[in-house]
Amino acid sequence: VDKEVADRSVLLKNMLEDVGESDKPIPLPNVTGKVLKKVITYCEHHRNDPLPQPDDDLDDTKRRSDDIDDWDADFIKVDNDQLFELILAANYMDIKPLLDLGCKTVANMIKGKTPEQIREMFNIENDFTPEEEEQIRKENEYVSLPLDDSMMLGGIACLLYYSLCIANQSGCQHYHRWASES
Amino acid sequence: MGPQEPACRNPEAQSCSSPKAHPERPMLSSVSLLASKIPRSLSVRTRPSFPGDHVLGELLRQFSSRRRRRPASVPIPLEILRVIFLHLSPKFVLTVCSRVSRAWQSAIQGLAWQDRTFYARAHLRFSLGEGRQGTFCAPELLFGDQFEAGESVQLGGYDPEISAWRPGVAGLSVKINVPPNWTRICGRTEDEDAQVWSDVGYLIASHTEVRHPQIKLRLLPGTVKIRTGPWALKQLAAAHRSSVDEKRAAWITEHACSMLSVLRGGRFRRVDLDGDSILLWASLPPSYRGEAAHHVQEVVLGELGTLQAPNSDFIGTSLFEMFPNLRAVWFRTTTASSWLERIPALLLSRLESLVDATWTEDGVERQYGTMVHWRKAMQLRGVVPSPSMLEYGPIVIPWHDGPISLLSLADRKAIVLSQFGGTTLRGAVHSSVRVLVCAIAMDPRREIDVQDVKVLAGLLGLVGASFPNVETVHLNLLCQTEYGRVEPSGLASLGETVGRWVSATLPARRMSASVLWPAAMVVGGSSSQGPLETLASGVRRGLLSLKGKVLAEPDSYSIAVRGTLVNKSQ
Repeated sequence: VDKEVADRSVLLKNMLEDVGESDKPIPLPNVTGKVLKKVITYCEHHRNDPLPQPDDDLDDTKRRSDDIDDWDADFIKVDNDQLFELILAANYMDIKPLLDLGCKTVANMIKGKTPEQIREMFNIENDFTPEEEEQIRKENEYVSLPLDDSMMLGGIACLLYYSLCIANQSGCQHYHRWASES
Repeated sequence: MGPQEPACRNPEAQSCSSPKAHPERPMLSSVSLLASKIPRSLSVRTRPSFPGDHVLGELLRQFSSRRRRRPASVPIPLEILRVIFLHLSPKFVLTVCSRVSRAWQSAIQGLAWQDRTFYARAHLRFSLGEGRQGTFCAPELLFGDQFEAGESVQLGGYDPEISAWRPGVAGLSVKINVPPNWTRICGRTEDEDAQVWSDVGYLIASHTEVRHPQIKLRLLPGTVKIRTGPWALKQLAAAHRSSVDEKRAAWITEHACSMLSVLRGGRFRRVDLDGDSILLWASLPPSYRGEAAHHVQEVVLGELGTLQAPNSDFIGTSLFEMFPNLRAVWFRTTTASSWLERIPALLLSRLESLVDATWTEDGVERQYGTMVHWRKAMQLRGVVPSPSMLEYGPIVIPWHDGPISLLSLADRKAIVLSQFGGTTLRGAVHSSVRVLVCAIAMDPRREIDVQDVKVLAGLLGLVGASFPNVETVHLNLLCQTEYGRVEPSGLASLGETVGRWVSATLPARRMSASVLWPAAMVVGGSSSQGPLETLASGVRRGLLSLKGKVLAEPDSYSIAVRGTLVNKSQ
């Protein structure tokens, strides 16, 4: 890999500075070959991009998720498993633009979904009790007004959920079944 | 969020060598990377075969086929989750993502904690729309218990003309629903240093009472906090300094009046005023104060770091005018002495309780002395406090009735407070106590005689017996106002006596002493540190003179002498 490409990774850049000239390959124990190949592809494409600045995190405009260019959008079209492998690799290798790209992609996948849909998407177990979920909903309901479309759906789902909970002690299961079927 | 440690810093890394600096080394043109051959999600171990392995293999096969039917669980590290959330709208994160799982909720809480503007952005964006810059509210000022869930509060916006929040600024109004778990509501300008704590409270008040009567803000019985911050004080000071700046002065007046209006209109019975609020309030002309708030029965007076004339006047008399049915006053310790000196005995006698609301390390240290002073001040005015009238924190001191003297204190044996549960000295042994706070009222003018030393030595010996494991003693010497002028020589003598007590009787390895100087006491010396240093040197002299071993290890005693010099210019 060209050093210029490797330098896109802050981890590698620091390692190269520390280790100095060496013929030995640099081990990346947390990255598989398939993912590393993908990462290198990304770094090669972006080898001439300006390096991210530390203050970028403070810039709200950098937190948008709808500014992915076409090449990146095509690049990141991978299955969920590989997407998260890429994110983890970017995090490990400290390649901030790639990390942002992955996180933006996940954010775009999550947008507009209900909690149950998100759980389904990532196979996450709902470890809240109904009471806890109600408490969280109450705590944050002050941000629910006015409701946008996605929140309206969420609200309807919540109403159904609580109706079911009242009608049946095992309403949680009903709700999950309903949510997954819908 | 940072990356993991580079492999070369990991002792287990294969091709790691110790870091070297090679400023002159040739530039590399390419590097070789070695990826892991082991999938991240599996760990492989080798072991000898056991009977029944084929069963395990079958189970694994079934498990694998089940996994193919259902997508694999994707564990997302919290750090990654937080980056993802930053690309979502805070509203969505709070209302949807927080309900996905405990891990997600935890990530959101961490994010909110890390990024204080996170919630703030959420509030603003809903109301102002994306991209609008300006001030925001953050859930930091206590209103939570006083509001019912879902109640609405209309806040004002940022007025660039006056660099502050104010109600009714066109286009910048923010409407929020107060969540039940908010602890505080805080207004903040774009200037990081300009915290406008009070204005949100005022704005809530004014909007509720005056400007937006259609918005119902139902205050439940309880405490409403009304606070001002340094910024508001600066505004106030500017208004007073510059009479031509009528606009600014009018604005301050409007806010103060809003505060009064909410007091009159609310149904709460306790009002929490901090020192800045009192100053702001007291600075208003009497005509602005309007009618009294009859329903208020308790007032919490905050810390008055700098006692200024308007404050003292206000808490002395105006407080009773504003709150004619006042039955209890909660103090922060330093407010007490000045207040008590100004309050008419008749009004004082109407109170059912005076409570020291301070419960900090420093406050504990000073509480007893304050109580002594309160008691004395009441007695001088012919007020006989009930046994339960004077309280502080969770501790009730068994009070004595006689004149405050060293002997009476010794008789009562009630001069010890511990910071470990507020134990009063009753002859029991409290071996868990490590810190003692002793408060002693003294007449520094009088030459302390041998008898005094004996009494106090016995007293402190008793203290030592009751608290055998005490390591630190905070000695709080209260110099009474009515004793008048104190000369430095008196302080030196006092300090020396204290040092003797401690060295003779207490097992403590460390001691600190503080002195309370009431406002009317004139202290000799030009520097505010002068009397304290004098006292400290006296304490050291006393310690060294009586306890030979201290000379051998002088550093084993830490003597910190601090003082509360209140209005020493008077």
